[in-house]
Amino acid sequence: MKIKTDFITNSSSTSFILIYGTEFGLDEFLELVGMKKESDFSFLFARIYQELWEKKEPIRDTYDDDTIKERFSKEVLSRILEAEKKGKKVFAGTLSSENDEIESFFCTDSFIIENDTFYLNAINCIW
Amino acid sequence: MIYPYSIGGSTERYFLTIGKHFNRRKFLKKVKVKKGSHAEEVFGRIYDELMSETIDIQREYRKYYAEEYGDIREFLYQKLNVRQSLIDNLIEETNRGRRVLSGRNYSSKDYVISQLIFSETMLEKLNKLLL
Repeated sequence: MKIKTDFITNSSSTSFILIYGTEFGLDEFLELVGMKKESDFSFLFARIYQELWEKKEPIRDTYDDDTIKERFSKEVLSRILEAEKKGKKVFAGTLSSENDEIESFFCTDSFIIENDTFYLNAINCIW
Repeated sequence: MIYPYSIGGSTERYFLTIGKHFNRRKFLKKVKVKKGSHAEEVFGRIYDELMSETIDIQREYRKYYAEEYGDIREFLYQKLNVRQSLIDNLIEETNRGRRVLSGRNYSSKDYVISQLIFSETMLEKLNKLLL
């Protein structure tokens, strides 16, 4: 697993990109982020799973190649094009810091989680 | 336990009471995160934020204030402006052999982590873990 973290901002929203091949549920998501299901703190990642899955939309409903390059990066665009070529599902969405502290935390934090099952990029903060 | 308190309503502070041998590794083990994972990174930051720039109150009292204040209770009340009910809790914890640390919110500049720690649900869960 690769994890990249970055600067912290006072952004009010963060665009995210989510890529995966086959559907997976909350239990697998917890496993993939490294939080044991029986932990008292699994609620934190269960909440972010819920937010991501509720807010994700097929990326091509919103973004064309130029917008992806502009709002994320050339590297992210390449990754998306490669994933699309392999038939993977690519989604985008927005988290907001206007809601509760948990969504606000994941919104204002910047991170990439990458493993064999999924790729989550929440680096792009909008001030 | 984490006991948030403020001085003059502006500077947010907290007391953190922990066992004598409490450390980062034990904290992460109790949280139940996997090594090298994103969850470990997040909770490692939570631990670091809580412990960052904290002062051991008993040591501080013994080293610098024992002559000026008759006992630690007086020191907490007169020097640190801590309310009596909170002093009672802290003294009870020291009597059980626990360390009392004093810290400031946002001390490590990891603003979002601090905000998360002091949210209602998180504070409740952390206090259960730190008992």
